Amino acid sequence: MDILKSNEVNMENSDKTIVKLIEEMRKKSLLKEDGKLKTRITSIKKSTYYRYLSKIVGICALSATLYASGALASHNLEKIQDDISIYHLSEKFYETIINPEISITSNKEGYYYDYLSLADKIEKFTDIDEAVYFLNFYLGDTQTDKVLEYTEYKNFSHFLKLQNYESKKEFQNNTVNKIIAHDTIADKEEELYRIQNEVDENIDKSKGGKR
Amino acid sequence: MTKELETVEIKDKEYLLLRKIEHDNFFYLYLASEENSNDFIIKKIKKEETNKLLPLDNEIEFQLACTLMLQNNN
Repeated sequence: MDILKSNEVNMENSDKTIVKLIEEMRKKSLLKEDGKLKTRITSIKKSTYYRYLSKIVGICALSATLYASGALASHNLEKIQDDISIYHLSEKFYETIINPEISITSNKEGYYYDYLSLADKIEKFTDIDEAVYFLNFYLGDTQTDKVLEYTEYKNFSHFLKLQNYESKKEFQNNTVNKIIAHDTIADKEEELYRIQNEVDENIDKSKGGKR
Repeated sequence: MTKELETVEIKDKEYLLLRKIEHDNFFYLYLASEENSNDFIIKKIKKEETNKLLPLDNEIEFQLACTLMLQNNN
């Protein structure tokens, strides 16, 4: 299965598989050890914060998926590998598509998304289902609605209707199966970077300089 | 651009408090080590005893905490 090979390549940047990350987080979370909430406040780069946040959200999502599917208990390795592949793609999607479109509010107390830019990127995908799946995975239904307002789909429920899905669950299952069945992770990563590059080039052209 | 975060100390090691989610009588704390990008932990504190860090009780509570994070990520 190509996806398994490409998944191994994706693991090169880390000595730990995502399953190990889940297991380590689970063990440490259940461990009784001394700890205290400190009042100290520290500053970190905004990009570092969102990278950590996206990673722990991804770990939680995969853990919940594996637990619900019984994959961990049954040692269904192929299922785990498929879930890991989806996790890696979702992480790449966040880094290349969503993260560049997050800005801090003027009072620096919140953040917002550039819905128009996100919509522009989403429409460049070969398979709109896959793009909306990952978008919805990270942003949820409300924010997905706001992005799709700038597309022909208008909102998430209308998107499901136009794509002939009877429910969000059916859309999610079908899209995950499509990704696993037809694509390799390397192909999808290439598409993500292509879209990011296209967007950057368009901005450079319109501004006459670098972003 | 920077973001200010509270920190949590576990065994003399400092963790960044990425998110704090209220559920029943507890706050669930989602923590990351600034030094190791693969080091994440979820702990909890009681609402009436916020200085004592508690472990999650079992696998089910761990899955609950994971689900809470997903529900509060929008």
